[in-house]
Amino acid sequence: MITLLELASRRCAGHALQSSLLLGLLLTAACDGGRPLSENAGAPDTSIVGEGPAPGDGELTGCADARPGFKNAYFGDLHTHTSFSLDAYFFNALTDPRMAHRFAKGEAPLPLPGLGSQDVFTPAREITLDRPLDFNAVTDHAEFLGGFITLCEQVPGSNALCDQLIGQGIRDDIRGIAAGDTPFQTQLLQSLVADLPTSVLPWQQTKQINDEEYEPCVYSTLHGYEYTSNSLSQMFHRNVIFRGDASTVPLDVFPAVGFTTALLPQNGNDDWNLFDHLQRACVDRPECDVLTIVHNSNRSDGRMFLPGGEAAGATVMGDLGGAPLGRKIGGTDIYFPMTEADALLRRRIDRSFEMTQHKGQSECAAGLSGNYLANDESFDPGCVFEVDNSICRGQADDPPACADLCTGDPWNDPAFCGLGDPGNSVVPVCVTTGPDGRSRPAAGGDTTGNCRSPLDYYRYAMVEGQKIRQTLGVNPYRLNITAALDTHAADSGNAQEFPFVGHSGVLDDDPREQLGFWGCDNEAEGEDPLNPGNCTNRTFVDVARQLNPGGLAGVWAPQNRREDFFDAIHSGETWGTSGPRLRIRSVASWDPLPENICARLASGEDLTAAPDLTAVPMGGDLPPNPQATGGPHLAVWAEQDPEGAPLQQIDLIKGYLDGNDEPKVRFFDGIERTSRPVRRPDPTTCAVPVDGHPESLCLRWQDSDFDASRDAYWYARVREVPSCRWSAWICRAEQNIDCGLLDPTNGAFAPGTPEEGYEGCCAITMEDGVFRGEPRFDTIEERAWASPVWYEP
Amino acid sequence: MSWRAVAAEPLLQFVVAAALLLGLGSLWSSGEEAASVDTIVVPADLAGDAREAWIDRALLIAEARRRGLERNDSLIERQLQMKMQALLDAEHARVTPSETELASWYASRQAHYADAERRDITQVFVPRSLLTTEAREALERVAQRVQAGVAGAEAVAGEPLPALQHLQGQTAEMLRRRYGEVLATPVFAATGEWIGPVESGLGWHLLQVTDVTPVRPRPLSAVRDQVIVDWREQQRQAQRDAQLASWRARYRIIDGRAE
Repeated sequence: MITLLELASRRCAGHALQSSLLLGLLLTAACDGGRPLSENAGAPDTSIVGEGPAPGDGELTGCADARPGFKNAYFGDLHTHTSFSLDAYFFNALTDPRMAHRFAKGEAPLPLPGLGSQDVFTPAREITLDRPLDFNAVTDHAEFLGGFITLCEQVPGSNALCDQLIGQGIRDDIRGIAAGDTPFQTQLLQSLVADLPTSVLPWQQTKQINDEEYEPCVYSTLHGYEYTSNSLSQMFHRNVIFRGDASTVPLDVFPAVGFTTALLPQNGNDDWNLFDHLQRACVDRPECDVLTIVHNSNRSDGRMFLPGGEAAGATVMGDLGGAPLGRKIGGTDIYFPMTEADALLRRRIDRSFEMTQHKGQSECAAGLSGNYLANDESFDPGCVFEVDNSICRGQADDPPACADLCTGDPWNDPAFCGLGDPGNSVVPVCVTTGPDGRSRPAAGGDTTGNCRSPLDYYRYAMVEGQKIRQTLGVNPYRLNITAALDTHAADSGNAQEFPFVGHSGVLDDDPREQLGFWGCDNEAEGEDPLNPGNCTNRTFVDVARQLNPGGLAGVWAPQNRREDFFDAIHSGETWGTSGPRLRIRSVASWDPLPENICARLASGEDLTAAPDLTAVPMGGDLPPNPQATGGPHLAVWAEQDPEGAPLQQIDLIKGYLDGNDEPKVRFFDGIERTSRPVRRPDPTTCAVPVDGHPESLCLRWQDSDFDASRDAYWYARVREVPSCRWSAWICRAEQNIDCGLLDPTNGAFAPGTPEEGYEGCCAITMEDGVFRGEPRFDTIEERAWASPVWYEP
Repeated sequence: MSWRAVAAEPLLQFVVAAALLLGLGSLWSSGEEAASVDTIVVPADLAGDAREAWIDRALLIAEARRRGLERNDSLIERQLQMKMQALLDAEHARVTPSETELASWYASRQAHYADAERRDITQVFVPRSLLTTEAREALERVAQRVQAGVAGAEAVAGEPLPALQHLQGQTAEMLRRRYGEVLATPVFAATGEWIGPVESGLGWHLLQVTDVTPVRPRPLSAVRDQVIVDWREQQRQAQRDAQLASWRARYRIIDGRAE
């Protein structure tokens, strides 16, 4: 049998077989794809230089900034979509993977969807990245990757079919798509073509571009794609990242959508399907290595990290004990408990966690309560930061844990306060959680729809994994930390709050779409959002609370090479930032850390190689304590973005199993902090007052409440002083919107005025049929999270 | 080979699916292409309700086009733009330059592929959090000494300041990322004199450029792959520009009145 590749090889050899454009493109890619670049291409041959000691006769002879015994801080993006992604294509992303890389290098202006002169709000735009990235991964959706370009543009005569079956459906429900819902006809079409190799060509193109754009020592590209399981509205997403060049990476991507997805939606085995595939297609091959980065657990409805010992109504073969649900028998509702082997498999491949991105952070959420919180002191005010869909909304029926967060003052309250109607960026807490849509928001009444579980958030999921280790011997959930954008406009690394250009093409390319707007149920039938008398279920769609510009990944690595970055992400010497190029580094030891530990952390010294220390870097494991002299010593150093705001404080978060083997999380607020009073930025200019706040902070700390017989983790978080959120930049510094101009009859600005479309700048209330608005002033504390140090006795 | 084995061949599945889509697409589009304001050609295989529904749909589309509704639909316009760009790019297939073309093109852009200029720097860096009154005064004293010709190490000796740092091989981009543009610009404008104190986002710098490694061109052989990629991109863009330029001749382009 002639395989696809064999046929491609024959074509490459010069057979003059006439073929369609589609096949021609396929073969072109196959001919050129997979050609590895020399790793030394472009590497300067200068002597070793940098900020550390003078050059010596070290082992590293590659990049100019490599210093033996030291690591450097690098910044990059591990989550970018281009027009090769299903959704980005129909959001009118005008960009391909090469343009994403050229943008990330700071080279080429990127064209952004803009409605041009036909739109009164936004001109057509081009943007350039303010500072180049060190590394980048284009991670288009594996599901029908590039298929729309192939089928809708390059197959003559297919345009009408595509537009009818896919394009129109998506455009009709474009906001639903953005929320993770997929129109049925799109699901159906995807299912029908799911097993066709339509993604081979675009994947080859992506890999080829990645290798062509890789400039060792300057800019590293990593091969990757996104595995996007969306069944039953449970976001169950992972980015798949490969270590080597294109020649080592599997021929095709592995999508979450299969032949039966549309008709029989389920996700019970989605993770195991992916892990099994990656094991076979990569891990078992000596030249291949792969890891996955978990993201958007904050929209998984408890699916991403299942609790130990809970079946959520499923039939279990055998005794679940303390294990979570594992594999299920396909097409049935019968599950096996997770096995030790599968826990090891998951831990082998799942290596990192995207702590924040444009759909919010997944560290923690205001409004949660329950057994994970160690005590009342553990409330973390940092959990109000970019929470995407919020549990709290400033209403009387908020959960008790939301008490005192919203004061009714929109100028000072967190962004989620006053969100109003349920369903408008608001979610309830889950009562039960499980796969295949088992998560339920309430015991009675409305038992459908999305909900949030503590295990949707990093700090609780990690300690739940430690509890599961008591049963399986392995923590299957253990992940280190990165962050990313998840942009769908190919503007990798463009995480600035201002200007916020939107990440989703036509979804958010003007202020109205970014900030929010009035909507009715039946606008297509002529209902008018500006006329309360002709608008069913009139709601202000408060988009602004959900979106943000996303974050960046930080990596401590010896030099700028693809393999060095992969290895660092794999081992966890990484951190995530909410956008600014904050640096953070932590280390732990059983011995007291020396006075100069802060300077050594700042210098990038590889402390694991230091002869005077027995230290574990972030991402690493504390070994068993040989002398039982008390709790571990931690040191954390952090430094502000040189182009950003000063630092406010370093927090520590500890997860551990208590004396009853119950998972607990404890928050240590500002162990190290500025000595000066903290003020908000100037609302008219967004200028941040430096006020003598430090450019760097460092703490040395010993855990005085430590049980050497039980699992624990510690991770550090550094916060800047407050600065303007993107919405404040637009509403206050840029436009200075006067909310008093809102029309009292409909809560909207008059058509044709400069304020039209900026209603989201105001907290709008209605009493006795009269609308009024008060100005919001949304500020944020930008931050970075360091990977934890782990202890597994 | 059994029919099952043949049917399981992914290439065959792909070709069949593409052919199916082509056929359906042609069927679908043939009717639309044939449609005009005055004439609507109904596919022959339609009958009954399906035929009537098809006609209704064709009428709506034809009437919308007659009224120019698609012209004000930015979504449709962008879809058309994307399709045309893809078609233009596809028409210009991947080509490989001749050695002469490549060498000539590289010669015209040699600076782009060169190793950037690097500078060695000696600096006194006082982080903002350490900038006490005492440190500020000490920094001023050291600045006066080095401006008077005293060597850096000697000028700093005994002062309550951090030790001298030696940063080697710094490109402008490296400095920009580490300390911000505010430091990169003066360092790369300096000619060996002490400069500062300069305030960056992180603190205060008093510094001197001690060595300069000028821009070093790299031979084509060292950057060949990258040059070919860039050449192709440039050719692709040139092809697109040329096509657009030729199309301009087909149209009379006039400036409309502002609405």
